[in-house]
Amino acid sequence: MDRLTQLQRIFREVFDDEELRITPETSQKNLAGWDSVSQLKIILTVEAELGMRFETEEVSSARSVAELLAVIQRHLGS
Amino acid sequence: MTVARREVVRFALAKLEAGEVCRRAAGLLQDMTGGDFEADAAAAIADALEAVCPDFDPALIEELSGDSAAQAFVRARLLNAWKHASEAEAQLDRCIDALARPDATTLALRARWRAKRGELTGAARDLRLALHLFPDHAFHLRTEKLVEKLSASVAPRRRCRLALLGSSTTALLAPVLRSVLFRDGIAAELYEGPYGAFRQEILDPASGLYRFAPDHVLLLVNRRDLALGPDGGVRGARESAAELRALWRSLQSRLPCHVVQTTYDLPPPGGWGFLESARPEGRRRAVMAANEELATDLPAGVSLLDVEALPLPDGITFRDERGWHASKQYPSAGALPVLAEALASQVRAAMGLASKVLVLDLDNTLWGGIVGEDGVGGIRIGPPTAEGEAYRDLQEYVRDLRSRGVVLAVCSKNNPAEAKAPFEAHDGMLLRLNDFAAFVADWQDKAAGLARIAAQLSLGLDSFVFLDDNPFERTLVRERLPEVVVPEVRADPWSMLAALRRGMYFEANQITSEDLQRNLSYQATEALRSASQSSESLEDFLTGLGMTCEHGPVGPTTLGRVAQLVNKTNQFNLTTRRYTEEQLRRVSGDPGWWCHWFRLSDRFGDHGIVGVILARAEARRLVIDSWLMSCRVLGRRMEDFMCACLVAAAVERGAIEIHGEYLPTAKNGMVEDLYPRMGFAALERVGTFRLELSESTAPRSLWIRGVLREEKAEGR
Repeated sequence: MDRLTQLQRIFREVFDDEELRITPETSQKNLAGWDSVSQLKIILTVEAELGMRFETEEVSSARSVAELLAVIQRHLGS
Repeated sequence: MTVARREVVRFALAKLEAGEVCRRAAGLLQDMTGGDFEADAAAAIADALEAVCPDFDPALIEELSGDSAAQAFVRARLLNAWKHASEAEAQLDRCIDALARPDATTLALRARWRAKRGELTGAARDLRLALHLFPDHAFHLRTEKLVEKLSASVAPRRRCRLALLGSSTTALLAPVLRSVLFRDGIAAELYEGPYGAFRQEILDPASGLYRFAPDHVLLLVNRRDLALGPDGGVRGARESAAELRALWRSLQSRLPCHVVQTTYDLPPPGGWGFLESARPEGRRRAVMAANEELATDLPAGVSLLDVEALPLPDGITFRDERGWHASKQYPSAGALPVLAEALASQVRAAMGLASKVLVLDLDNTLWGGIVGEDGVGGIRIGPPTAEGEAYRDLQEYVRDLRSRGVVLAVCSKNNPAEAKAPFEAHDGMLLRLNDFAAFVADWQDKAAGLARIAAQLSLGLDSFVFLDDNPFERTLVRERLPEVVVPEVRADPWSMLAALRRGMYFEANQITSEDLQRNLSYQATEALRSASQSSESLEDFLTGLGMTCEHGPVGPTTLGRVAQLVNKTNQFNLTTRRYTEEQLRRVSGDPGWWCHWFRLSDRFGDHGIVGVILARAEARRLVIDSWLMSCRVLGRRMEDFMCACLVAAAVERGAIEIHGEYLPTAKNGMVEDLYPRMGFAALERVGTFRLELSESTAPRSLWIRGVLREEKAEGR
């Protein structure tokens, strides 16, 4: 599940918390600071690093790590 | 990461299985050492290894023991994940030392680790260098918090208060702007107005804006504010712009602040297609009219930032429809670093922190090749090579900087005589020796050279930008003189020009008479110094100009420019006759005509083709049909030179006299007495003159060296 590690690194940088652990269940509901602006930052960072682009609808709908991973999977197939 | 590299990494990661991790990863990293180091690729591999090897594993490190930057990077990441912080940092140092050119991501990682153990100065230095490399928007997002932390704990050069107001969300722009200013040693406290409410903020004296009391107010508008239909309406657009101008006045009447206003972006093609540009009221024309309204008589204290002039990197578009609809993001996230740089450049300028001195290397920086080895004739500058032409563009850019008051200096490892030779002897060079306020050519290291230049000019090194194609020199100067800005470039002229544009180092809010005076005085001083006598006469000045005039018969390559001059010159134009290019082609191919162009250059540069004479033969007489000269070169007595050429040509053709006429217009009064001044005698008919060639009294040109260029005229 290396995508999760990769995503975790991005979360750690954006939230500036090197100890942050994320699981597929981590979501806007249970992670403090994951607001709409952080959401945008995470998505833009993922896009730049993975060379993909979220659909307009996916930008606002992917509100948990599991959903982010699903979007990435859908686009990249891994 | 390149697409190909990304594919390789993606494929390899998909195949990585616990048992095979070490060997496969090592092999993969070995593959990566062939090209440039790519931090994203190395980081993705480190992520994968971290996931499968969560605990300390010396055997894995043993497997990844290569010297490459990529392997050192992965070792560093793993050791850090295993909580071996100091060993991790040592590996990261090795990675950074092994890199051919600095890498923003790697530097930011070290900054993060240094900050964590309290080494804030070193962290700030790493991060600043990374930010000088113009990283993408994602880099800014990832380092935002780190910048905040360092900004609060490392003493800045200066502080300022910035308000960011706009009709779009500024949440992503603000941190990028803060980072860019942090890089320049400016600690910015930022205020973001409530979304879309900039009018209320400015008009309400009790608003948060006035409580914050900023030094600079940045106003970010976009085309959607104008709400234009396809046949937009120029008047409405102008009124919107006028309303913005009124807001500047309200704001500045309540608060003494510097305003940075962005222009409206041009809309994408709408349903009316190109008609939106062609019709008088078309949407695109309306936006241009609004921008024109903003720019006209710009008040002091307001900087206007043309968003269409932003030097966007390749592959980055300014517009992003998705971003607008999803989050009212304007412009695209990718364009934010460039926009932030532009805003910051105006803030720097207003604070007096813009760079002032451009120090240039010579070989492979101002020209292609090495003058000490290739000789003056062997270097590439100017046509015909593409490289030479690109270096010339670079020189033109640099010359434009100088004309605006930027101080130029040379710092080159060369023998002084060889370093100076191209400036004196190569006609492809635009820059001249006296364009430079300091000229260091020796074999000392460049840090010492820059220090000498700073002492000589009495200017601080923190106002210096140093351009050099050699990565060794750049690294040395960055390490020894961290206050000097050293743009990262590739060894080609295009990259250097792009770096200067992207850096916006020398931006000014306006051009003051002082800026211009600075160079005029340099020039005047130089002109007087180089004149043979010390008296301040016009003759001395003209001599000092070192003028050269190339001239020749009008032919295919010069026809376009000649037609342009013939059709737009009004002041120095004896007859103001206009001809189409086709008509000119015909007469220039006619042996009964003498059609000649004149091109002037002097030590301030090449002025291009600036003069034309068209004359036709009538028996043993040459009749001047047209004689004109661009007003750019008035006052240099080039008319004397042109007349001398004409006389020589007439004599060669066996003519005994030259006739000329002056047809007055509202604008050409300055040449009313040209023919008498040239020794022509007035004829009976008013405005007609004659010069007898038997005992010519035509003036000789004393100050201009002539070079005849024969081009085979195109036959009919």
